Amino acid sequence: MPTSSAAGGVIATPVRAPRWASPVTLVLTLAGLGVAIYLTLAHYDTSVTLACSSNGAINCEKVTTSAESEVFGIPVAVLGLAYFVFMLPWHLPAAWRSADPRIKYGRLAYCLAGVGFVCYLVYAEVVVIKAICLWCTAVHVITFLIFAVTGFALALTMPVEISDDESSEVSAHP
Amino acid sequence: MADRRDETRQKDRTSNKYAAKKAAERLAAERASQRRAERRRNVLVAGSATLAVLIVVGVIVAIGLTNKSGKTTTANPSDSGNPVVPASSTVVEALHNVPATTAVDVTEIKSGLPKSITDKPLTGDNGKPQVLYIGADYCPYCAATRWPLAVALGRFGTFSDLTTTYSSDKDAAPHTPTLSFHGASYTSDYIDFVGKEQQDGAGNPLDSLTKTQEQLLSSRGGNSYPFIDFGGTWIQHGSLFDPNSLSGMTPEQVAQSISDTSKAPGSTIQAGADVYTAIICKIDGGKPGDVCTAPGVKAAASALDANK
Repeated sequence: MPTSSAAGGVIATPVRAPRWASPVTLVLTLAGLGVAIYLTLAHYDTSVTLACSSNGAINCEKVTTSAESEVFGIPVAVLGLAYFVFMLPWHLPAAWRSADPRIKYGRLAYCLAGVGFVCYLVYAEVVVIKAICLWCTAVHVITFLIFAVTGFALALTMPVEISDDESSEVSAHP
Repeated sequence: MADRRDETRQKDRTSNKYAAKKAAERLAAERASQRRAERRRNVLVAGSATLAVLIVVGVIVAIGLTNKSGKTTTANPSDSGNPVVPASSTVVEALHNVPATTAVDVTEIKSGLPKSITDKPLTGDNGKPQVLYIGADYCPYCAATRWPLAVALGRFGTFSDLTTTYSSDKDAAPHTPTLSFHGASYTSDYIDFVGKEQQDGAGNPLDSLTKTQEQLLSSRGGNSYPFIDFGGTWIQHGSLFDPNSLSGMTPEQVAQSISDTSKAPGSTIQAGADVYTAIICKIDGGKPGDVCTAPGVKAAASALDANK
């Protein structure tokens, strides 16, 4: 939020996020979206088979057809797809430039919620189903990376500082 | 005189400007230092949060690995058995939507058809003919038998609170995917169904039997699982088909396979379901008509009559 300095030193205006924040998180989100689309297709279209082992500890089919593959009757694949679709706007360059705390902390909260759900899904895979789905794991890793990148980018986000002279010049214009 | 005053004023102004500049620089340096400290703190918080997530995931994986290794090293089946979880919508829907449109091939049923008996009729409290099932969660033959039984019952009524699990990992046909009737309820306009799982996946006591049920299990069932009594007129001992045919599948995969009658296990489960449906039609007066006159059920009824 813009603040003025009574001492006449600086005036903070829109925040400056690290330049890499938006492109990195956008690429990760698009990657997550791609995998989520694949998993959703495999869930609804029986002709689409997941390219994954179906024996031993790595068993995508066992995981994606288990009781835990649905939450409140909604397939987890669909939840993942929705998660990444709604993730996109949070990571657009304009959103990263915004100084609105609702965007800054809303984005972080959204990522945190995703990581929390990932922890549950890892528990379901490892403890309940006792099988690992590699495609699901890819989504989990991407979700975690988005959370980590978002957290660090937020930590490094600083106010853009303009000197009094610049700000008075700006404010002199109608 | 005036010149000297101007000179003094000029000096004061210069001195003030210098002091202000120094103060501004000091302030800027302090702010920069504060910002650096704040940034360090923020990075530390972000790093801690990231590390916390990794630790949580690590703990979950460690729990999973510990459980797994515990099971493989236990000589006696004293573990807690396979998890019993609520049946997914895929399973529940599959069990309630299986029409008997194709004629059953009873050769799919390799373990023999149910036997007709002449004994006291078995009815529920509501006077409707009763189907009594007695089995156990660990039992692989029960695991196979529940599928056709549930499909048949799904044609006459509705299950709720069904769960899915696997038979014991230490018995014959280990880890056979199945349902469990423990805790499930069933409503029907035509029949009464009682499903008892006497033991859980680890062989611990689960559902207790009434005295009548104990006598039936002993006299008609030979004290072995699974036992099904269809209204006191037909009984089923053992499994209709080999539970190994479900090996490596999940309950959801079995449920999805039921609609595919072109190959096992779908064809086998449908064949068994049609046989059980035909028996239920015999004990409930042929209701509902659309179920009892379906080609698959009529063919199964003929096969049963021929086997009497």
